[in-house]
This record gives sequence, structure tokens and C-alpha cells, in this order.
Amino acid sequence: MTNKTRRDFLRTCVGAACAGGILPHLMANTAQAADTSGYKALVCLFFFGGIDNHDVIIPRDNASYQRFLNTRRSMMDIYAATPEAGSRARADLLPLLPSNSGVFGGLEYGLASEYEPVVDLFNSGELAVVGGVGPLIQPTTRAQFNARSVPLPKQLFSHNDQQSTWMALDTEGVRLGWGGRFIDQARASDPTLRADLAGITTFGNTVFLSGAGDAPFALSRSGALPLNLVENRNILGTSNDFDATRQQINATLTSMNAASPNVFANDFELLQSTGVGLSNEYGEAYAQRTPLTTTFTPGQAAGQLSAVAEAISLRNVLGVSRQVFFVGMGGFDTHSTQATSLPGLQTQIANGIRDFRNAMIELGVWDDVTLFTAADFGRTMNDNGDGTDHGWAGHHFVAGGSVRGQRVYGGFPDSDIASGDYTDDRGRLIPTVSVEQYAATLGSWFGLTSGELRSALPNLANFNDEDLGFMRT
Amino acid sequence: MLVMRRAFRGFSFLAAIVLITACGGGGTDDGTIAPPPTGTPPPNPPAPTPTVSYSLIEDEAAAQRFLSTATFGGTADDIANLVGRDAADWLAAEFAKPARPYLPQVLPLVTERLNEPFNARATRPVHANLFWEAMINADDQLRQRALFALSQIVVVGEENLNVTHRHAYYMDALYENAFGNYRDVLLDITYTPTMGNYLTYRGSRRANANTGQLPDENYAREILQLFTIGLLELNMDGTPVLVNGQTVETYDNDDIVNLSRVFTGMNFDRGPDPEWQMWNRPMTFNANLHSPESKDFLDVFIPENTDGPTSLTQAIDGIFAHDNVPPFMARQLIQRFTMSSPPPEYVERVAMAFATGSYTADNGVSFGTGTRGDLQATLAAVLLDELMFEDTVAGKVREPVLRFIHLIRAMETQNIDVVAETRLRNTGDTGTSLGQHPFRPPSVFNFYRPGYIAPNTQSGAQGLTAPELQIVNGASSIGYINFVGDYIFNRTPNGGTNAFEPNYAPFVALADDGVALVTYVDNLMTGGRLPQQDFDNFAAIIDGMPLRNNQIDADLRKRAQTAIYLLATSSTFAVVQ
Repeated sequence: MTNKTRRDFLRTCVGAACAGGILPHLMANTAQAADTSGYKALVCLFFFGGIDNHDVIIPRDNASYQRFLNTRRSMMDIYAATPEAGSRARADLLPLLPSNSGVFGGLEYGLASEYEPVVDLFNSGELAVVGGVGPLIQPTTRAQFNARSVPLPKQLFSHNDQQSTWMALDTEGVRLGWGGRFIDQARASDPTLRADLAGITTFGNTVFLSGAGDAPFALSRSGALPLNLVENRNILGTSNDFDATRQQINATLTSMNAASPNVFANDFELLQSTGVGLSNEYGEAYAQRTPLTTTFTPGQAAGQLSAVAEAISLRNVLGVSRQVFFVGMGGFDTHSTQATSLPGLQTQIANGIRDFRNAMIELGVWDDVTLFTAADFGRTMNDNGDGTDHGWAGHHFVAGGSVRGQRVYGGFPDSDIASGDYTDDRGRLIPTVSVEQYAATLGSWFGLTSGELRSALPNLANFNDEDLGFMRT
Repeated sequence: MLVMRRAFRGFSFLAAIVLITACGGGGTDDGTIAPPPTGTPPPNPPAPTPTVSYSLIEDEAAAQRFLSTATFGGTADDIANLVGRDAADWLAAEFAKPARPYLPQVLPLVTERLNEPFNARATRPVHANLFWEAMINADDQLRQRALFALSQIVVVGEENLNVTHRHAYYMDALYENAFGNYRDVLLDITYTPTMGNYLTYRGSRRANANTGQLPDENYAREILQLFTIGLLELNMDGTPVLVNGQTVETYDNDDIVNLSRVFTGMNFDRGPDPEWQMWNRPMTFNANLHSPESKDFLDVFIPENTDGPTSLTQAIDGIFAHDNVPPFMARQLIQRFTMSSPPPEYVERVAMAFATGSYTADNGVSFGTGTRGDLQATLAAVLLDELMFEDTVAGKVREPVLRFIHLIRAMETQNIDVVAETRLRNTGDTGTSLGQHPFRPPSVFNFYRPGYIAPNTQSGAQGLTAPELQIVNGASSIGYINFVGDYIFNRTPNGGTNAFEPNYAPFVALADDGVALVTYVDNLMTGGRLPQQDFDNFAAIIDGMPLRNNQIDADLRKRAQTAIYLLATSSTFAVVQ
């Protein structure tokens, strides 16, 4: 407890985390610098558009369920009329049975059957559910929200700004994400860590992975991406006479000379040349890979998670020991036709997490890899006829061999939207734990000290539980 | 025929002095050049020499540059023909060209199919084919550019490609209003079933106390955030208003809840004609489903029991009157055409043209009807701004579609068959294609964000926005490089052997001399802006390529192709300035 007073320490030991006995974990975390030994990877699976939290964790005791049903009656009627798309009948819900069920305060919750692989992982102790996660500056109640009497995150309910806030703790335009900052912190303790292949995205450039080092590497679902003109000898000609040209073209496309008087041209050259150079290196490593035997069920995230698994399999060849990955899925902005579109996505999520877990088991690194979910925001409990609108907090999954699974963390709401759990009469859920607490718990496992975490997560100190306790050390 | 010489690379300095002097400005003692005057003349101006408009296109470099901003890129002939004309006159001629709407072109090709039973109704994405063709070959280049620009602001992502007429109808709402008024764009798109579907308000209903159902908030939120005013109060120059150092939000959730009532009751205008035709006309309001509650948002108050059409018109007019609209639109339109991070003065000049509906070019040609929101005045202000005729302007990072089409045009590519070239049906994949397909951004937030600042870059350190850099990374670069490589080396996989065949002749004619060839390609594709270091490198690569006696024609062609490839993948070509 070098960085904390005894009072601080006691403050952390309240609620669910303390009940779970995180004491040894906190006591162990006394190093001055980040622990950079071994291999560790975080994988963020982001649901663009904002997944409906009320359809992730569903009230299951009869009274709560009936109230929930009545709050989104029109949409639940559509579910009932099209059960082949996805049933939300109470009898069909998979019960969520945590070992720390006391957190539920006597209420029951369940998940839709699409999540069966997730529930299986939960029950086997490899997955935890964190309830009511969202951006917060400090703990906030309904009365405080309505009176604007506490500082609130900016631009709540705006997609791009809340994506940015989840990833980088501020609205669009912020330049450092907490994934990138975690890499920076690890490198500050161990400068020998590679920066350029530490942050890897399969879903385009993302502020989440943006740190002080190189831009994140964009990994293609197809693994390696050759420069055709250089690699395919048929284009210029099979003759060796063209080898020098091929080499010169490759050198031109991978070198940075910043010769332009134009700042954008030099930036473009930087992004292109470093990206192409890393792709070349990755391609060479990829060519030597041992193909995974785990197969990924087709789905939006399957190709991406498969590519991440392959990249992790190349960690030793590439010489990288701390990595943060970013994987994205779209289609969650279900203002309309939610009953027919969301269940299919939920099946893809669940299959993706299961298949990824199997690949990590195959590689023998499941204890070293933690996958967590994130999204713009949750959605309204109240429907708009056939969909739901923008909300705030959501419920998220954390899976990995080091997760203290079969347990729930955070808070699980009352299904009465008039209760203090919501902002208004549309059932927009107020977070019970902040994104920064969620991130800090992951970061602590990643090896960062509490001082480093407070530096990367500026509002963390405003919350009692700086570690939610869902990770083992 | 484009006639340019290596010496022409030095153009910018000499011509700029002529230009500035002619405008009544002048050099300063320390040798730097003062900016041209704006607005009121300085006291005791020197007696003007015969006035030359700053927008007069004096040489081919200026022509190349202007055409790169106002069209999908100039051919050698386009560039030569523009020299000696004033850009304002060129613009006036573009505005006078007749529109050729898409839906009437699409329908004859798919009507038979659309009249088949519902299950068999899949159509080709004819609208997309027509747009590729238009970008490459259409004469109304500025209007097509404006369509592409508007499609990235009032975004409808193509969700179902088998219903081409829906997208054509939406495209026309943008295309036909592209030289009209932005207020009409807003009203027209709001009535399109395509937008109604995309942002989910088609079928939205008044609140129902029995079921707890409330109106869909989606469109209310996005029309404010993305199409008109944005999240923060803006000054006329596009910078945020600060009160005690803090930004001011334009609306809160109560505004959204109220505005969402306006769009209730909208749905298809069903008629006796075949059901698919309801997609090709404005939606209508069902009075029973329209919210009778009052609608109180921004500075707008619509009393209770106001009908749907009246509510919608008042809402659009009220939003359109917001002080943010001119700078909000000005900044984004500038970003689509000329500058990734426009300085506030430029935004303000364009915003003024938008707000007043008029703009007068330096040569006296005036644009616009004098009505707020006039897009001819606004586009003229964007393209004819004094900054566009200076040398040091930072310019715009060009998105992959613009770079690709410019390349196709510059190579005078023949045998364009966009239907046979099936790869053009989806160029959206990153890594194997352009990473961008027209009208198919991943969400209503477009391909990239207008406020994007690239981390760990020079521009980022200066706080410059660069939206298009948001989709530049290793995978996207290789995707683009390989994609354009196939078109440069005439290896298009699907269109047949002669499809998309570049006219190599002008390039091959110079290919025995690396300097001559690279000079030609550089002048054609970047206006001669290649930095000396890159120029020398490219010329040396070309001169190092074999020229074998027994296959001299093939080897010259490979040199020509390689030179085009080096330019097309260069960072200089990626930026227009």
C-alpha cells in the first residue's frame, strides 16, 4: 500500500468486491512499476450503436419480469409474435446464477437463450458479468442527475461522443485512449516492450488504442497483406531484371522522408509507410504460423477474433509481450426492428466469445488473455414501438482464464423505471460503476500500479472501489 | 494535349508574385508576400494596375489544382482548356448545366424486375453503377462532386442493395438540390422513405400511455447533431462559443424528446400503383398517429394539436434558422472539397455566403439568389476563396474514392464498363479494396468524423482536423495501393481484357527518360508538387528499369505504369492543395 493511506485502503474494501475477498490482490499490488513479466493481452469487443442493456440482463423473478414486460409492451409483443427470431418469454430465459447471488438482493435475472455459450462460460467460472457500467465523473443519483448538481460526462446519449468517452474518457476529438495509455504505462516501466505491435485493431483506426507511441496496427482479417506489385512477380515481369525495381518500390512505400512542405502529406506518408512496413513484417511472421485448429462460427466478429487469435499465436515470433486488441461489431443502434435484428447479433457475440476462448485454450494462453465487452451506451427500457432509444449504462461481460468468474460485479437495476436507477421515465439506466473502475480492474491485471492507473484514469479517485475485483492476480 | 515542362515545377513562386501584384497587394520588405486584401481596401492604396481576378487560371498548375477540388480530377485536356479562364466563369458554367436525375435512368432498367412477385424482386444496384460512371465521365462534374459531398453529410448508408430505386430516389433529393437550397435538402430528405427507414422514424407513433411506448428519438437527435447545428454553440467562424471558458451545448435531451414528436405519423404514401413505387415519392402523415402534444425545442414552440405537415415545416424552418447552421455547414462543405482543417476566417467567409445566399467572385461574377442556405453561393465561396489561389494552403487529404477516380480520369481510361467490372459493386473492404464505397459509410456518422485529429502526427500536434486520416492505416494503404495497381497495370479482374484500359500513349512517349516521364505524370496528377527528393527517387527508379531491345514496347509501358503507380501511391497525390 505504498501509494495509499490506510483510510484509502479501507474505502476500497466495501461492497461486493470486499465480500469477494480481493484483499490478497490489493496487498500484492505494491510494486512501484508496472509488472511487465510474461505475456498479457486485453481484447476489447465493442458493440457500435449501443447494445440494449435491458436485453442483455433481463429481470427474471415474476414481479420484475411483468413490470419489464409492461414497460416495453409493443416490442415484447413483436418478440412473442416472432419467437423464431428470438424468444424473450420468461420461461425461455437462461437463469444467471452467480456464486455471489447476494448482490441481486433477492431478485432474479436471466439472459436470452442466444447467450447460451456465455452462460456456459459464466457457469464454468471463466466469465463475469459487470452490471451498470457507464461513463461517470463521480457517483451519481437520479436526483443529482436531474438537478445537474454533480459533474456529468459530456454529450451523454450521443453515439460518437459516448464511444469516445468509453474508449478515451472524453468526447470526440480526445487523442489518448485508455488502451493506448495502458501500453504507454507498461512501456514506461519496460522500454524494451515493442510499441508498434502492442496496439492492434481489426476494426479500423480507434482512439481506444491511441497512446504516445505508434499508431495502432490495423490487422486484416485475411492475416497477411502483401504488396502485390512487389510480391507478385507476374506484374512487372518474372525476370530478375525487375528485382531492383521491386525492391525500390517496396523501399519507397515503407520509408518516411517527410520531404513535403505539406503537413498532411507528411502525416499521410507516416501512416502509410509505417503501416505498410509493419504489414510486411507481420506477413513474414504470418507465413510461418501454425494454423489454429479451432474454428470460428461465421459471424461479424468471427474473422476479427480469429485474426486476433492468430496474432496472439505469433507473439513470440514478433517479440511482443503486452498487447491490447480492439474488435468491433456494428448494428446495435436498434431504434427499429430490434426483435428481429438483435438476437442474431447476440448469437454472434456469444459464439465469438466461446470460439475465441477455445482458440486461447488451444494456444495455452487463456490465463494470459482477457476479453471484455464495451458499447456506446445502453438503451431505453421503454420502447418506441419496435425498438429502443439511446440510454446510458450497460451490462458487460469479462472472459478469461484469470477472470474471477461465475460472479457478478457492479449493480443490477430495479425494473421499475420510476426508481432511482434511471434518469427519466424512458428507463435510461444510471451507471453504478464507472468505465474507469471497469478499466482500472483490467489495468491492474495487465500489470499497472494504482498510481499508473490513476494517471491513466483521471476520475478514478472519485470512486470507492478502484478495483472491482473481477480479475485474479 | 498537356504541354508542361520540368521548369514548370517552379511556377508557383513566379506566378504568385504576378498574381498578388495584380491584385493590388504587394511584397513586403523582407521578401515575404502579403496576403491579398480582403474586403475593404487599405488606406491610400497604390493606383491599381489593370485588375486581374485572383481566380483567373493562369497556368496549368493552377488549372490542375482547381480541377482537383471542383471535379473528380482533370484530364490533360481539361487542364489545358482551363488555362486563361477565370475559375468563377467555369463555376457559373457548371451551375448552368442541366441536371440528369438518377431515378429516371434507373427505373427503365429495373421496372420489369420490380413488378415481379416480391420474392423475385432483387435488382442490380444500378444507381451505384451510374454513379461510378458519372464520377468518371459525366460532364456535370461539380454537381456530381456536390452529390458525393452531401451524401457524406446527410448520410443514408445503403442497407439493401437489391432495391436500387430507393437509393436513386434519395440520391436525387441531394443531386437535384445540390445547386439549390440546403433548407430544401433538409425538407426533402426528411420526407424520403429512404431516410425514414434509415433513421427509423418511418412508422414512429405518438406516445401511447397504455403501452408506455414513446416516439422514436433517432432522427431528432441526428438531424440536429449531424445535419444542421451540431452539439456546441458556434461562432460564425465555426469555433465554439465560450462562456466563462466553457463550451455551450446546443440542446439537451428534453429538446430531443420534444422534436421526436414532430416526426411521428410519417409513413409511406400508399397508392393504387405497384407497392414498390411508394418508395419513390414523399412520405405522408397519418393524422391519427401524429403527436398532438406541443413540441418545444431550441427556440421553436409548436403548439399542441398542430398537424404533421405544419409541424414538420415549422421544425425544419426553426432548425434552419439556428445561428449554427451556416458555420456548421460551411466547415463540413469546405472539408469535402478543399481543406481538411480550414482556418476560421475561411469558414466565416463561406458561412456568410451561406447565410446571405450570395457570393461575388473576384472577377465580379455573382452567385446565389440571396436566400439563406443557397448552395450555389456557398459552393462558390468554398471553391473560389482567396486561400485556394495561394501557394501555401494546407489543403485536403483526399479520401480513397477521390484518389481512385482522379487516377482513372487522368489515365484517360477507356472502355469503362462499370457493370462488367463487378469489383466496383463493393469497394468498401479495407485491405483488399479502397476501404470506402460511395453512399455506403458504416453509419450515419460517415466514413470519418469532421472533428477527427490524427494522434501522434504533425497535424495532430498542431490541432488540425484531418477527417480522411481516420481511414488511413497499413491495411487500408495496402488495399488502396493494390487496388489502384490493378487499374494502372490493366489487370482489372472482371471487366474483360480491354476493360478499364488506360491510354498509355502520352506516358509511353516519354518513358525512355525518367525525368521527362515523372515530370509529365507529376504535373498531370499533382500539379507538379512532388518534393524534389521524391521526384529524384521516382525518376531514378524509372531510369533503372530495363529497356530490352527485344521487348522495348512492353518495357516502356512498364515504365509508364510504374511512374503512374509511384505518383498514385504518393503522399503528394493524397493531398490536394
